[in-house]
Amino acid sequence: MTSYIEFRNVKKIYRMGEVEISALNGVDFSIDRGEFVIIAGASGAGKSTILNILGGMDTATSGEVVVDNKKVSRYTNKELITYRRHDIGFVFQFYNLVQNLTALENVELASQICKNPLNPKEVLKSVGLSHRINNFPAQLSGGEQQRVAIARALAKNPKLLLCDEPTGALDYNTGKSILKLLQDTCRQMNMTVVVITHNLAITPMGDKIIKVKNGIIEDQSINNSPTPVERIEW
Amino acid sequence: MKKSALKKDILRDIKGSLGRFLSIASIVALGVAFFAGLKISPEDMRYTADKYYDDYNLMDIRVVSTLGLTEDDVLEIKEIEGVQEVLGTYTIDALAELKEKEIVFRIHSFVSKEQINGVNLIEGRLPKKPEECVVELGKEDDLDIALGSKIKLSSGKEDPLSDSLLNTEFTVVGKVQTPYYLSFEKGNSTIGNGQVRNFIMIPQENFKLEAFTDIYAIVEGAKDLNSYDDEYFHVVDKVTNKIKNISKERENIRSEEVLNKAKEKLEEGKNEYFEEKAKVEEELVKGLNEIEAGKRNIAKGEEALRRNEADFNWAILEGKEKLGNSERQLSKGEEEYESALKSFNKNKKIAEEQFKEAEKEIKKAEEAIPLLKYKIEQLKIALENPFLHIEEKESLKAELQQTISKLRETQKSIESGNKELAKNKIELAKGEEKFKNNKEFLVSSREKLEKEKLNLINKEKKGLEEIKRARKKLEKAKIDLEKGEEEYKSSKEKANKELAKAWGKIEDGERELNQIQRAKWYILDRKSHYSYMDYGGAADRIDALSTVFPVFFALVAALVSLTTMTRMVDEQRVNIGTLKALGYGKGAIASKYIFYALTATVFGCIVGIGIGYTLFPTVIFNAYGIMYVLPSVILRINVPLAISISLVSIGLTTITAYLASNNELKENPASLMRPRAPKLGKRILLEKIPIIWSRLNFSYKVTLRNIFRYKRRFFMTVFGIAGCTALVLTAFGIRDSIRTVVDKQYGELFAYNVTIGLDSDGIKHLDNIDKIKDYQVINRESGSVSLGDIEKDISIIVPKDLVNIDKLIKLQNRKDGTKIKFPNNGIVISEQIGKDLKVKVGDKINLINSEEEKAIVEIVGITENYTFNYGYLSSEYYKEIFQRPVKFNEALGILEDTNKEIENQLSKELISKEGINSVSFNTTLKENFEDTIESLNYVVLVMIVSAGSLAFVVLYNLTNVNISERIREIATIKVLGFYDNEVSAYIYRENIILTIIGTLVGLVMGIFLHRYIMITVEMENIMFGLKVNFKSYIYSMILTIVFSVLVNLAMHYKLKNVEMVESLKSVD
Repeated sequence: MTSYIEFRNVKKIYRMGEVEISALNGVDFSIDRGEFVIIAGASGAGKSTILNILGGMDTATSGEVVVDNKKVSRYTNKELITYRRHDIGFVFQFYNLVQNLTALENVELASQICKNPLNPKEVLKSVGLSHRINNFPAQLSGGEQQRVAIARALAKNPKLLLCDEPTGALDYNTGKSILKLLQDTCRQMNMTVVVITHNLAITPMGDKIIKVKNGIIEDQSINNSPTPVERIEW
Repeated sequence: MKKSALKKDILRDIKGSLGRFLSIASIVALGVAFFAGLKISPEDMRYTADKYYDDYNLMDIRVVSTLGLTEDDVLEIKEIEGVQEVLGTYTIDALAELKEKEIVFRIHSFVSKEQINGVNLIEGRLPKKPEECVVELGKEDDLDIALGSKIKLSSGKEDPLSDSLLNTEFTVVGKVQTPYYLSFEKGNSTIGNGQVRNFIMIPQENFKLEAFTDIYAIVEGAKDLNSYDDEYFHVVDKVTNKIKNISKERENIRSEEVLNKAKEKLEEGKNEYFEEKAKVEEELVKGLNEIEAGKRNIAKGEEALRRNEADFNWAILEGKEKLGNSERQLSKGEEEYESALKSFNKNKKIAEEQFKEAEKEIKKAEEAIPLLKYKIEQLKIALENPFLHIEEKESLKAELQQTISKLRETQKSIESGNKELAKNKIELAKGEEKFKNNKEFLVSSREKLEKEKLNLINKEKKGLEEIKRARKKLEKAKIDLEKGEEEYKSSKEKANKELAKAWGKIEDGERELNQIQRAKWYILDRKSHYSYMDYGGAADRIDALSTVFPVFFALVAALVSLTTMTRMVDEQRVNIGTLKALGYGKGAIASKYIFYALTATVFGCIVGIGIGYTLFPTVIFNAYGIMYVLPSVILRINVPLAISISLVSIGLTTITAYLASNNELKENPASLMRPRAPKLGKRILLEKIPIIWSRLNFSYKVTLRNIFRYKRRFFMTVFGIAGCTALVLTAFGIRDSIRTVVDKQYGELFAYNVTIGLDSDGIKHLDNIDKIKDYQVINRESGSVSLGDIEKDISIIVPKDLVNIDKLIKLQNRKDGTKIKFPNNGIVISEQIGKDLKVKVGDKINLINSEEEKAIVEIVGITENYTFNYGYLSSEYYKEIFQRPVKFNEALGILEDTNKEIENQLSKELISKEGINSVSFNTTLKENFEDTIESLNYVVLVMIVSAGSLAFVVLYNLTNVNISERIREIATIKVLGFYDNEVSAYIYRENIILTIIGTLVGLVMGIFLHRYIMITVEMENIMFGLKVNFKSYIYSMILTIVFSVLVNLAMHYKLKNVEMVESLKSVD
């Protein structure tokens, strides 16, 4: 039986003119459903590339990516969009909210295009923003914006929630609360969550920790007793 | 190498953002090309024309006079200081039949190739012999006069052309062009259809006119100047004034000369008339006398005949009577003779007895004598007895005496008896003899009588014959006489008629003599030269265009560069912060962006001026080339213009660049390093209407909020697109306006489609032609109206039937379409006249008819009209104001069916009829008109293309900026799983809405722009419609939308290529 998500010898080579830069040199790992996975590594280690390929934003040069028994690596461009549309929730480092839409509308932006969305207001309530739903992003703090972003990702009811340095632009406490929100979501909604970070300090909170270095998996470990976020310090 | 790193940065920036660089460069290039093109085109047009004028010696001054000009006038003008060259020459109009069409030619005289108003020989050669000619080679050589063919000219007037020209038939030896005629329009003529179609040049020696019609002069130094410049007129005006100064004197001399000559001629004519009259009368009298004599002769002859006949009859009768008498006499004579013979014979017997008795008595007497003698003796004895008583004696004596006498008596009687007897005896014998003679005489008489009888019969016969002959002769003479009399009568009538005519001519001459105006010189410079002015006007119109359009381009270009530069500065926020942090001054940093904008603008200017100075003049010149006969365009490089345009554009873009960078430069480096605080999302008005707002999905919400949030972009896009729509609408509007002229004028206002020139004999033919459905008779003459200094040429139209004419000519108010009735009193004028003279209904103006008679008329209506100018009045009113009856000379007709073939047939059919002089169709007029304005279509095309490029550049630029500003947003929604077209739609929606708003605004702007342009380009005799067709609105909307769709399509690929990884990048 294969895992929920599987990377098999995934390679990614960028061609810049005559120069070939190898971002991934054969990556293998697997993630099970409902797992809270942390991919950690230094800048340029290749973790973002993994996330891009997993999120259907980029394609692998070779190797196989399987998500929920589907070979994502063989998807056409359009199938990739559909995949992103229905199966993936994405949380960006810089929230990437549409400035011209209110919190609620930003959530609707996602929920209105997918098959089985959650109620945007409910989702916003669940991320603790019920009092801010009609505010524009510029009127919200960074943490609040990131919560809107998470709500936007969750409202799609995705199979997979991908977070790219979700705390990168946030202060310590806000970052913690966001990580808690993600962890709680994972537990409560049995959502598979993949968080990318260069901050090794937060790795103990993951069910699985994948360490990336120079385009290969340096270490892959399962943490049977993840530490709650509150207790992690960095 | 100070700050060389900064310079490198600038250069690399340009390299790195070539698209942006090019977009600034191209909008600048577009604006500059358009402006420079429109500015240089009229200059090139004028320069090219002026060079052509100079090359072929177009006159600077033309002098014409009402009474012609003399050799002395030429010499006098030559004497004037500043006059370089003078030519006295002739111009007359004549008709020629070409391709079954009567065409008006203007005849010019040819002296030499280098003469004033010289010719450019295109084909063949120049004339060498008097009977050779050259003709114009037009742009469309539709007359197709072959070299070597002959052109026969006629005067088109009463006097034959041979009065003015030596030859009237010319062999075409060449085809030429001359700057004297640039346009097809060569002016009006008083003959043929009134339109000079072509010109013909014939050697000057052909002209027999006693005076020159024109004097052309070239002014010294004028060639060095462009005759479309004011300086040129400064030079020429000096000479014009000098000619004006001598004109009075020359006019006087000429007036006297002409008047004297006319008087002389009139005297001569009178003398001739009287001589002729006397001669004719004499001849008539002679004729009459002859006839009288003939009559008398005949009467005499008749009388003689009658007399002769009577005489003859009488003679015959007499002869007959005489003969009868003679016969009777003869018969009587014979009878008498017989009876005389009988009685003679009886008398003879008696006579013989008497003889015997006489003899007896004689004897008895003889016996008595002795007794008596005895007695005497006795007595004598007795007496002797002396006793006897005296008485007795006496008795005895008496007795004796008695007896003696008795004796004597007896003796005597014996003697006489004897004598008598002898005599009787002789007489008897004589009688016998006489009888015998008588008998003979009678016989011969009878013979003679018989002969005479025969004679008489012969004579009678002969006489009758002679009488018969004489009568016959007389009859003949009578018939001859009658004939002669008739001949006399008719020749008398003829002679009288001719004399009356001749007298009429003399009277005309006298009237003319009285009417001979003083000579008036018209000293015309090029401003009075049609081709010069018409062409100059065309150039001016382009100039007028160049004042409006470029403003759009300048504004749009400035806005585009402002947006682009702002975006660039925004993007380079961190860079600016870094530079600032490194210690670069404000100026140095700003100079980077200013330099960027500057290089883009300089580049754009170079390209723009290059295109503008070449493509535009060529296209526009060639467009006008359809209308004008000119050599090919000479492209000019106007450096000051190029520099000023460049300076303005550079100024505009660098200022915008400075403004854009200045905002950022105000901030301190630290804040510049931080991402700019995102602009606040704002609620818009529409959100207050939840019914609508809540129904919109997020992408509409984004779009709407975006539109209202970025006001600069909003206005710029709307303005750019509106400008495009306005330009396109104006372009289509110009076409509509031109169409209006044709369709309205020849469809709605003039319902007739054939114009037939005729005289009074011609009208009757029209009823019999079934191709003509309806017709009306009118008088058309060329006249003018004036008020103050302004005088405008018009066609005076006087309909015969004031009521039914409105089926053919509709008079109406343009604004509200109300009908205007043909006036009984007063004049209805066409709209342009009203505008030009600045008059309204109720005003009074001067009306001058074709006889140059002037009258004051009241305007009772101003009618919609687009081509030419008309004045409509009734025949009664015409008669009232000009004191002369109207001569109807034209019929306007509606055809049953119109197509070329039918028209040709009809034309041939009509023109062959007596009294029909010309036939023309509105379709031809329409075509001609369409040809002349077709050239404007090119300008329209230029405008559409320019508008299109404007729209394209503006939209492309804005969308580009829009995309780059929102690249994170786009990447994000891509990550969120938007399909490509959804992503595009997300961006396009904004473009679409802006396009629609811009289009609507543009339509409104276009209406005004179009109106402004149509009024600016308005030509003499043409009023353009100011209404734009509904279709044109649709077209310009569609075109604008098509442009914007094109831009959006191009953008689609750009959007597709937006990398999703952008979403992961930090905000910069």
